[in-house]
Amino acid sequence: MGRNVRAGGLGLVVLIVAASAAGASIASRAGGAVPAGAAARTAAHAGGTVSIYELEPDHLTPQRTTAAYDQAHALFTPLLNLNAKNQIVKGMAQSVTSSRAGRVWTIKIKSGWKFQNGEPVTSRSFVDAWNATAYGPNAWATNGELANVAGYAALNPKNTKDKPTAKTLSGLKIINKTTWRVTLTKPDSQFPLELTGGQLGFYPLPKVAFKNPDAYDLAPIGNGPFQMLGQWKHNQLISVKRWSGYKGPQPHVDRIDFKIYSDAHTAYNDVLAGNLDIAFLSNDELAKAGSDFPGRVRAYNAPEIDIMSYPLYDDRFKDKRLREAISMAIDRGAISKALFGGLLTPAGSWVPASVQGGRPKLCGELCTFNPTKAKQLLAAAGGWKGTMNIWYPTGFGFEPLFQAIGNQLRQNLGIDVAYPSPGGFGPYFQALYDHKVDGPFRAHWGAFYPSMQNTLQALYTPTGDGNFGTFYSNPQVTNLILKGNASATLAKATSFYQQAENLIKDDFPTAPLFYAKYVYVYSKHIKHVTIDVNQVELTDLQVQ
Amino acid sequence: MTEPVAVDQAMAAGQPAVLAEISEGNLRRDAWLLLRGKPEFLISATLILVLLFIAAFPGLVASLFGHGDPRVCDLASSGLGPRAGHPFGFDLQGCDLYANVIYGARPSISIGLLATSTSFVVSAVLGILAGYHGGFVDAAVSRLMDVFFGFPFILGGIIILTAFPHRTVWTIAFVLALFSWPTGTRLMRSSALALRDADYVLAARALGASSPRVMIRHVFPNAVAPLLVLSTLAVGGIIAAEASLTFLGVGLRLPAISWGLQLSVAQGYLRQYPHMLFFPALFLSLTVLAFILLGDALRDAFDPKLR
Repeated sequence: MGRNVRAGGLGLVVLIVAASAAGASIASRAGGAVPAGAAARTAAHAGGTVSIYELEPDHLTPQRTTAAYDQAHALFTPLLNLNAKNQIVKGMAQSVTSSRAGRVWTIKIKSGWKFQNGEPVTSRSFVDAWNATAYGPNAWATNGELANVAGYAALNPKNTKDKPTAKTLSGLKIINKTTWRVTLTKPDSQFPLELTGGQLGFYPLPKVAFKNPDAYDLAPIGNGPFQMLGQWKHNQLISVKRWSGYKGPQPHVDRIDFKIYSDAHTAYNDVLAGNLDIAFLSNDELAKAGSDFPGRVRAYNAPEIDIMSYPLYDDRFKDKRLREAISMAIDRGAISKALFGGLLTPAGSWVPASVQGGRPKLCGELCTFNPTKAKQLLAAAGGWKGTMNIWYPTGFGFEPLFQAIGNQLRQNLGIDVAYPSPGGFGPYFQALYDHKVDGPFRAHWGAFYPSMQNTLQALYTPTGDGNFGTFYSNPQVTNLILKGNASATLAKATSFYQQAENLIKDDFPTAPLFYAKYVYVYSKHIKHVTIDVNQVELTDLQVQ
Repeated sequence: MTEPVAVDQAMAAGQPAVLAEISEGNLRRDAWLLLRGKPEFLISATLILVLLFIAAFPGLVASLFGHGDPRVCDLASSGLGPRAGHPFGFDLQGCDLYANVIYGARPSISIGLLATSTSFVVSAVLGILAGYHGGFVDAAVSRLMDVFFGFPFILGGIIILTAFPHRTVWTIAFVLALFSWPTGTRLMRSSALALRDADYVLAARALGASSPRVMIRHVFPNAVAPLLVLSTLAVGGIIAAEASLTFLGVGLRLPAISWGLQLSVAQGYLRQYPHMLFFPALFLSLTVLAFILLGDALRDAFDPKLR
């Protein structure tokens, strides 16, 4: 279970990135129609249909999916949201307040909101959904997001064959129709950020979702701006239409078709041909997007990071100087320019720079191309014997990047490289779990909310969901992260997180490569394409 | 060509039993004479000799323009077109494309020749055994062939190659041979079947020659020509199949240098860097064409009906 969730999480994130890429630089270069959300929303409703490229999702019920993010954002409204500047704005929530140093949170929602079938959205809609998500035997994909709510352990016995001793989370208490209280196991100053749109485990569900979960999964009824138009047509189409009963800002378009493709390149060509309106890009399409779609590329600095990790369980990688030498032998700028059309920013920190407290220059010379110094460090570490294997999942467009890194290691350090990848994400993760990976390997983390906490905790604590992407643990780092979680203010928390990141820099367990971006291209048929932490802002879209 | 000599000796020995082989020997001499004057043979043979030379000494050929190392790459040159010193331009990684295309000849041609010669040997042995012996051996071999005929060539290759974690020239040649031997075997079997009751075979047996001797000395030399032609034709097909499998990601893998890999990268950048697709494709087509032309010429020469 735990393993599935982890694999799902990392895989998903990768797909999102493969799917997409940096807002600021591109948008400003494109000029003109950079939509300010507010301005777009005040414009009159204009109608029309927009089609968007999607992969076939695993589920449509938000709590169960690792893929259907756009659909969830269309059909549902979360408690809180993030605006383009990563500031928290209200969704369904009226207020989210904490007491007892961030251990107890009281959530109050707006009244008068309904689901698309007329059922009122109440505190019970949230509490029931959270209980179902947290209940281990349901095996819902977002189960891990609720791990810090008190009582989670009773619903998720260590041995998955054991029966849970409870069916509901003891940490959830309904106060009235619009208010409930959440008690956490450990204090968490970042809790409001966790309630934002990227964490689908905190969404509400109507009663009908529990009566027949499988039927509901084909046509979910939500509290969002769009409602399902017919059912999910597997491997073909998921259509949604504007819901006039929506209490939030009304979308501009009448209908959105989520068209399902099995191949990203086909979708790219379909946008080029005018058969599709919006497509996210895989890494190997970034270089050509600018010339194929002049002025119609949108990129967003996602809270995501690509790193090169090392098998720290392998004695040959124990010497920090070897790990630093490899990092300094990689010319990140040249790679971005040649392979990614300059769209990916070379990373200089272990936490994505776009989150609060991110410091893009932290890594300094260790992440700066310097072949002379790299050679010296390698020699000081005792050199390298034999072929160095570089690992990545094949078939997702990562090949050119790792071939470039391999070429640079060969030319700058004199190390011969090979790429023995076992295949796609499944076998690749398995090789990591089994400690079969014997050389530098690709890792990636995408935070669902822009806090330093998420990336640090997931990758650099021994119990983190993404620890199998770093194999790193340092009790001091873990301790500092816990201190950050227990801080009363976000600023205080950030300073602890930064101290933790400083220690990680000293240990140098991984080499930061690039800050990932969501990159989208769109057709001439539409305008006001905003890409943010929610990917495509569906309510902003307009037809030309 | 040693056959005419053998025939002359046979004639000198005055064995009536081999009279039938005389015409066969003459056929080969005629074939050679015919081939020598055929432009399609001369062109394809020259081309193949050049390609074989490239495959044998890629370093020598690659350094013709002064930048012979396919593994010296500079991302700053990524995708640049042809220029002085770099007649084919650069690939996506900023490596000299000419050197890479030249070095790509070896794996393609090695796999083509390895797979074809393996399947040639297997076809010859099994085909003669099945055709000459008939009965149980024939039934067993024929049913085995049917099993392999049931697999589409490329699909079978994909399925089996996916199971190999480390794919090299050898494993790919093995898999391609695995799916190409039945055609040759069937051809060899039918030739052997036809020769089984030929006068000179019966005569040899009447004189007390053992089965292996009859098969090696009398059946094989007279049944091998069609198989030889088929195999030559097949080299081109095998090379194309290798490129396809590599293109699909189940053939050779990085950091190997191969035309299939080059094409696979280039197809994504067709609009930006067409030269990256053009040059490997040109060499691949020329190689395939050369072997097919040669096979064609051989078939014309060996098949009296087409004269």
